[in-house]
Amino acid sequence: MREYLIKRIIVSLFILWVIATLNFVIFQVISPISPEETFAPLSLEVSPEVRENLRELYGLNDDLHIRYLKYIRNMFTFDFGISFRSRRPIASEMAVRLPATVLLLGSAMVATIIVGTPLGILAASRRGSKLDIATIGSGLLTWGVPVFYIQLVGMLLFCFYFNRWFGFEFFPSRGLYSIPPPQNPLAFMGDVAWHMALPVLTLVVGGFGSWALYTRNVLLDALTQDYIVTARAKGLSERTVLYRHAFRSTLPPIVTIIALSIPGIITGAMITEFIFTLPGIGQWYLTGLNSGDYPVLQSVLFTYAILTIVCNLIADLLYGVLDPRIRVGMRR
Amino acid sequence: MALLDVENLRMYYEIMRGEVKAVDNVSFQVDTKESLGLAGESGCGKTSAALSILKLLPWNGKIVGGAIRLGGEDIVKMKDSEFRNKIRWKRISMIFQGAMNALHPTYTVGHQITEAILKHEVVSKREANERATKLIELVGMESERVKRYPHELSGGMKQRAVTAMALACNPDLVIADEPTTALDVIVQAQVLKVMKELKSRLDISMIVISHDLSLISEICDKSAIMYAGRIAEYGDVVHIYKEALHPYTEKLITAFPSVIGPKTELSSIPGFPPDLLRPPPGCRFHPRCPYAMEICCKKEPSLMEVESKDHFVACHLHGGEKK
Amino acid sequence: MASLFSRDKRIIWMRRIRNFWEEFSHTKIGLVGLGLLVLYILVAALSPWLTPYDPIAQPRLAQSFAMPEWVTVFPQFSNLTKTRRITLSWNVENDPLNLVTGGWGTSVGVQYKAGDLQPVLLVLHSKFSYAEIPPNEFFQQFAYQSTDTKDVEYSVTLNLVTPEGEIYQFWDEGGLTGDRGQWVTRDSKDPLFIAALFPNEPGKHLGKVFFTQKGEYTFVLELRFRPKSMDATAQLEISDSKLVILGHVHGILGADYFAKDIWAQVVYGAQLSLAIGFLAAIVGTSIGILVGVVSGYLGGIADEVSMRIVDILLCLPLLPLLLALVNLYGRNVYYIVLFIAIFGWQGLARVIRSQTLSIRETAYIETARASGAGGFYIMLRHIIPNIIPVAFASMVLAVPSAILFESALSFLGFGDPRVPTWGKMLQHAFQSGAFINLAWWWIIPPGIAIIGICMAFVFIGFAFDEIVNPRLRRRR
Repeated sequence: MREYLIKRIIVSLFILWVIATLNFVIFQVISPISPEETFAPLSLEVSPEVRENLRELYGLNDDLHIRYLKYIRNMFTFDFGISFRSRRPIASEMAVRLPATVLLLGSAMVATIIVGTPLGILAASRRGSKLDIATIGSGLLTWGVPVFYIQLVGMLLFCFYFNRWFGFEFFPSRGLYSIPPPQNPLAFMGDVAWHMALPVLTLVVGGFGSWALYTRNVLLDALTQDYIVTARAKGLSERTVLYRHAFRSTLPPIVTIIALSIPGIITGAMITEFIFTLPGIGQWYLTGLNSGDYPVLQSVLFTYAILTIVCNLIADLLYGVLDPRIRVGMRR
Repeated sequence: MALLDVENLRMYYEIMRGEVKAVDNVSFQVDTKESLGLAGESGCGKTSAALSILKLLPWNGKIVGGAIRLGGEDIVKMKDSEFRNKIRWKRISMIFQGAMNALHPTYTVGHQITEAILKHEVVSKREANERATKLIELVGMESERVKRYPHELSGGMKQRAVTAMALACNPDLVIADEPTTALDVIVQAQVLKVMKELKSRLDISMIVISHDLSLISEICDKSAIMYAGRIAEYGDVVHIYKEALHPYTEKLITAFPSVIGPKTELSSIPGFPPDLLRPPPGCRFHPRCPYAMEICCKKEPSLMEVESKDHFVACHLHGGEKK
Repeated sequence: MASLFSRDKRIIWMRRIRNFWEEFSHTKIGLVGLGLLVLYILVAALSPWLTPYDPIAQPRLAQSFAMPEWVTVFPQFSNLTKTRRITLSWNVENDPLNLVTGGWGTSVGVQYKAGDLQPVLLVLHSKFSYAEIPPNEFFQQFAYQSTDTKDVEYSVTLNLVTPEGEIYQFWDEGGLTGDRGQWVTRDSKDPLFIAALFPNEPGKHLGKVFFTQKGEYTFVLELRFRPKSMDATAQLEISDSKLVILGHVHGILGADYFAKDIWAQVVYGAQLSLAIGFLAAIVGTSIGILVGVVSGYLGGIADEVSMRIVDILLCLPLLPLLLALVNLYGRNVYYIVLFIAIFGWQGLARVIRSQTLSIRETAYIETARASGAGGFYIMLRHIIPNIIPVAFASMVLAVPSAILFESALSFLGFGDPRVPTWGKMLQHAFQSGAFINLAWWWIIPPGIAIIGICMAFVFIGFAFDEIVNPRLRRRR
């Protein structure tokens, strides 16, 4: 187990290093615009001395290899530097934006799983029924329907048309809280929940189908296994067969896919934050892109990569915990 | 009265292209302490027949006709919940092909045995555990194996564990589905030995399903040879072996080597088993039969008793149908 | 190489394809997908016949956010009007000196020759009737050109007289001397025009001011000549006036904020989406096959390296990275396609690799190797033909994901500005007030188009998968 973990961590660090290097190469070596132009555009009237000071401040005067080594050291010690645009440390900027993203994704994922899993189980247990066909259909739809489109239509209907028809905003179309925010903490929480409702709801609508379909397929796969026939032969009730025997063996793949899908959902949430003007990481990244704020871009990409790798690791470990077959493999 | 009486059983699978007549008018009996062998090529309907007895059909399989009587009671008509609580495992249990996936991968062997005991009998958990340990010892494994997961056991051990599990509730009838298939020869012999011992010690009836006639001849009293969803020949094992009447049985005997016995030349049966969606008219074996006559492709032979007692055959060659 | 396409091979392949088609034509969902795809291909091929308008360069067709024409079947929209283009020829109302020398087709010629030093007033008029509800937007154009001017000062005034006799000045230019030409466009949205009429009411709705009355409207053009000498002359040519009352409704799917035809944009988007999807899918799938086959067949270092690359690619946050790359290397549609392809083959490579590994162990590959066939030959002749079904199914599913990726990039504003894809349409709609104006006809159609084309491929891919992967067949 320990050996396995250590090996996995070494491989993960290697991958991280490659990604960090890639980051450096993309933004600082082959980038057609030199970094200092973004914080002090050549068109701007900045005296050469100031420009020089700025270069010094951001460490752009060193040789490339020195810069690279410093950069790698900084990345791996989570010292992400200073934003070109806001002139504030990246870490504190990120801390400000993290809650919105985590709140959005956390609630969306939990809701998706809560809606999708029972649907998948029901569909698998009533295979061939209308519900089953509907589940397959909604799963296929999520392959072809862009989530941002669901969000646009949701916004058009619930924010704008409702405003026209009923004279009030059913859901707010932008922001994380009202301006000015309510003073009472309880009211503030309610306000945030109200603002989050539509983004989360639309993410769930866009994602529950594939989740249900996945659960269904994994469960059906388990239900066609020989040991399910054994369980039935033993006279166990259908409920016990479904929830104890079949579902038990679907847990490892389901938990794994949850862990593995987190990074994808987080990057996907960028569009959600863009549409609903939520001040999260994705929104920050997009602003950084438009203003050429390389330290922001580098650190966000690096953080995403860390997240992916950690999630992969967690998925592996969970699989081991849940499936005794793998557990032995790790013990070796 | 026979313990199990299967009469004109018909079991069909519905698939997109139509109905597959997997079991078509099959009848046989198993007496108390008697064991019956169901033999035939793969896909001939022997496993489907066995699954019908336990009512464990896949979602698209249906019993369309006939009766299965256990101690005189028709279990086809029995309600599902009643069947599940009173018959399954308590009176009829099954030894699955253990080398395959018959054991749940994420539960220990012991758990899977006690689960069956706890379901059917009012006993404490400890008692159930003790019984599971005893059963494991009964089939010749060390008692500590109860705490093992299936993947930690070898093929032979898994087969024994499955056997132990089948005996958990002292059933009247045990159906063994290909108990030795996919095991190597030495393990096969071991499993065979265990089964023979159990049979003599525990006084249970058995149905052994196998394509291996030598296995059936080793442990069974009677044998039914199935072909394309029907019974071709049925009777005492010795009779069938000594004087096989149906051409298919003949071919089947010569197609398998016997574990013990004289060396004979192996032969294979030409052609393929028929498509059960559209079985051939008349005798279903006629396209592959070397003795096929004109009547064979027109009229279906029915199962007729031949001279010696308890020996039935469905073949026009043997008195079969009076014109 | 030549033997690869020998007659026998061709027959075998044709048989394989025919068998495949036979199975495919039995899957309902696959046929639905194929039908959809054919529809899109037809739309892409017939775009110029489906709409008269160019998707990018268009004249002003209707008002901003003009609704689709067919909404007029609903009672609450029944009085909305289409765009009306009125060409107004001038008639003489008051011509004391017979200055009008006649028209040259679409214009009127005026020949002025001073006999005395009296100022002369020439009045032309042009009538049209308007009985619809007031338009939100309109514009009026005319032009005049003077030649041979000598010793004369003249002025041009254009007034609109409403049926109830109110007079609004559209144009007034006085004190003109010398040869000159003037194009006049008066736009109801032009703040200068509004300010000229209603100095204290910026943003006044001119359509409602002018066209609330039903009946005959008259444009009155007054030309005043003030001679400075006895032999003053001037020759004027005044073009017909054009009044465009922009419709509340337009075309099949209305117009967007820029008054462009939405149907045209939707129709032309089909070409772009198909091209982007296919191109990215083909390139990505090719990379996937190549890497998978080579690493699976060769094993060793090649395998190790390519599988590590796959691992790394799987850890990359695709959308943010693609955004960054597109941002750096220019918002060019070819780059976008290339990036989508380059970062979209890792999953397939893994599948192909494992397939190659199992094919490599089969007896016929052993035989081929034993008989001295080279690695390249074996890969080309034995391995690739066997993985084609899987690769093809994967390619079909790669098309919608490429299309979705491109539309996401475009929607976030990182698409090629020259390429009006559906994602770009949604971006424009999102940024240009389609929501606040409730312009569902701008928001709904591009998304439906994206969903339709993606579902076509998803359905076909689903059907393929069922045929290629017998395991899945059991699940249905």
